[in-house]
Amino acid sequence: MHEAELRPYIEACQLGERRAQRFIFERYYRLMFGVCLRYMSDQDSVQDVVQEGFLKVFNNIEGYTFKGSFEGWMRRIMVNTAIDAIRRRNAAGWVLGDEGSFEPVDQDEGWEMEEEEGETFTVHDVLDAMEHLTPMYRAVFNLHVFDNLGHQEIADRLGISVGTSKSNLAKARRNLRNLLLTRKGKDHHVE
Amino acid sequence: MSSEHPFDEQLKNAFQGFEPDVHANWMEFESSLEKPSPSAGTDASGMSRWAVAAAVIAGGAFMWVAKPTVEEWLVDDVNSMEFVSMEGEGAQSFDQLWEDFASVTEDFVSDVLNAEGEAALAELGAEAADSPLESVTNPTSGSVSVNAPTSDGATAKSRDNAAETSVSNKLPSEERLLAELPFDASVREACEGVEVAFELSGLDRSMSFLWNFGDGHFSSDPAPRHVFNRPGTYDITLSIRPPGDGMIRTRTIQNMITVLPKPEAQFGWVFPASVSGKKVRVHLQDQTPDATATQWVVDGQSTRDNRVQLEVPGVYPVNLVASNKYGCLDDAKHEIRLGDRNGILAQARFSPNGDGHYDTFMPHSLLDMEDAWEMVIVDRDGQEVYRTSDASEPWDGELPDGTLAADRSVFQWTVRCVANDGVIRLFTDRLRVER
Repeated sequence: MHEAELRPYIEACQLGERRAQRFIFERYYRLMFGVCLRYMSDQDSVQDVVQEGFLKVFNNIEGYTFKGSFEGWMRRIMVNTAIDAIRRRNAAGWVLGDEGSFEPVDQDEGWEMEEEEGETFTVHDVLDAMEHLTPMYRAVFNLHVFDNLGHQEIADRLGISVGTSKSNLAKARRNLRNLLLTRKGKDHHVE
Repeated sequence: MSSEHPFDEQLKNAFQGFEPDVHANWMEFESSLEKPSPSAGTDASGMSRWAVAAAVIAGGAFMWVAKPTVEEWLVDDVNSMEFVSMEGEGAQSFDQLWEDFASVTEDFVSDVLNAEGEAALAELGAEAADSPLESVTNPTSGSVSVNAPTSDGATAKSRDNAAETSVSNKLPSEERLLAELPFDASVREACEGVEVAFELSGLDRSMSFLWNFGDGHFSSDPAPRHVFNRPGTYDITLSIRPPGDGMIRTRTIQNMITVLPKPEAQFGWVFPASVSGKKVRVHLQDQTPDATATQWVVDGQSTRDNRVQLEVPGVYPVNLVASNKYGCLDDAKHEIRLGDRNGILAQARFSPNGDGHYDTFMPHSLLDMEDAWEMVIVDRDGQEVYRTSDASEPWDGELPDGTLAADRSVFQWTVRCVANDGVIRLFTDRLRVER
C-alpha cells in the first residue's frame, strides 16, 4: 500500500477513528515487531514495547503532518520506545558497552573483506548473534546501521560520547561478524 | 546518515522485508487505548455561570449575534470535514433553515426581555450547573451549550463536557431535557447510503429544531432521517429553541456517526469467440475493487461460480452482490443478451452454388451495424472455418483447405458485438448449406 492510499486511514486515526487505528495497528504490527526485535530478544518485552509504541503513535498521530514517510515516523517512535525500555531495564548497568573508552576506533578495524564475500546470513542468524552483544553495543549498532542515525545523534540519544558511539559500533560490528562466521564454521574470536 | 559498510549491507539484506510471524492482537491493544475524548473544554461550572449571566445581560440582542456565530460554527464543521456542498439535491439553504428555526416572534422577544432578574438567574444558573442532573459528564456524549452574547458582545459557546442550562420556569424533566439534549441515532455505524434516523428523547415537537449532520446537510425536522453518502466520521449537532424561550441550546456529539465505505460493485463478462450448440458459456468477471466476498445471481439463481451456461436466445439479468471488509454491500446489475438468427436477420441456410441466389452468408443486420463486431463460423467439430469483421466479405462457403462446404453440411456462426457504450451482445445460430 502506498503512502497516498494510507492517508485516509491516518486522517481517520487523527480523528480517533477506531477502525482506522485497527487497520494501522494490524498493517504495521509485525513490521514494527521486527524493528524492536533488533533491540531486544525477549519476545514478551518486545511485545510490551511494540504496544507502548503504538500507543504513542496513536496518541501523537495528530502531530504527523504527512511530511516524510509515515512508516519512518512510526519506526522512529518504536526505536525510541525500545531504547527507553532498555534504559529502564538496565537503569543501573545501561552502560555495559564501551563507555570509558574514548579512543576513536578505526571502523574497519579487523575487517577482512575476502572472508565475507559470498556469505549470506539469515535474519535468525543475525538476531541470534545480536543476543550476544551488550545492550549498548546492540543499540549503537542498530541505531547506526538499521536506523541510519549518525554518531552525534546516537551519542545524544544514548547519553554517551561520539567517540564511544564510534568505538561501540566498531566493536559491535566486529563481534557480530565473528559470531556469525563462527556459526558458519569459521573460527573467530569474540570479545 | 546511512552505513555503507559492506558487512552492514549484508545484515540489512538479511532483514529486508522482515516481519516476524507474530499475531497483532488488536483486542488486547484496544483495551489499553484511551476512549476518544471530545475537544477540550472549559471549567463547567464557571462556564455555566458566565453563559447564564451573559444570557440575562444581553437578552434580545442575542439574535443579532447568534446567527452568524452558529452559522460560522456550522460552516466550519462542513469545511473541516470536506464534504458535499449544501447545494446538493434535497438540501435546503442554511439561511432558510435558520430563518425557520430562529424566527423572532413578538412573544419570543417579550419572553426574552422580561426574563427573570439578573441575580436570580445567575443564582439559578449556578445551581443548575452544580446539579448532577444538569451535568453531562459522558465524554462521548458531547455537550450542551447555550448561545448567548457576553457582556463584551461575543457569543458564549461552550463545547465542553458540562451542561449550561437556561433559566426558566421549566419542569425538572423538561429542564433536564434542555440541559442534556439527549438525542440519539438509530445506528452509530452505518454503511454509506444507509438511512440513519435521529431523534431527541422526550421530544417536544413544539420546539424548533435544527440538525447539522456534519456533511453539509441540515434538517429542521424534529426527528429527521438522513442518508450519508460519503464514508467518514461525522459530528452531529442539534440546536433547539423551545417556544417562548429565548435560548437556543446546541449540543454536538463528536464522531457520532461513522459511515463505512461500501464497495463499488462492478462486473463484466466475456463471450466465447465461437459457440457450438444452443448454450453459451459466459465467463463473468468481478471487477469490484476491494471486495472480500461476492455472490452472483444469474436469472434469479444464486451461484458463486463465475462461469455460467446460458441458453440462446434469452435475456438474462445478472446481479453481482459484493461485500467488503467492513461488511458493507453493493450490487451491480446488467443484462446479458443472447440472440439467435432472428435477432440479427440472418438466414438459416445458404447455397454457395453461383446461381446468384443466397450464394454467400452475412447476417443482414451487420451490413449497417455501427457496433464493432466479429463473426466466427465453425464446423460441427467446432473447428473454425471462417472469420470476418467486414460486412463486405461474406462467407462464400469456402473452407480453409480451399474446398467448398459440402451440401447439407451444418455450421454454426457466432457474432459478438461491442457497442460504443461497452455493452456487448452475442448472436449465434446454425447455418445449413444447400446447393
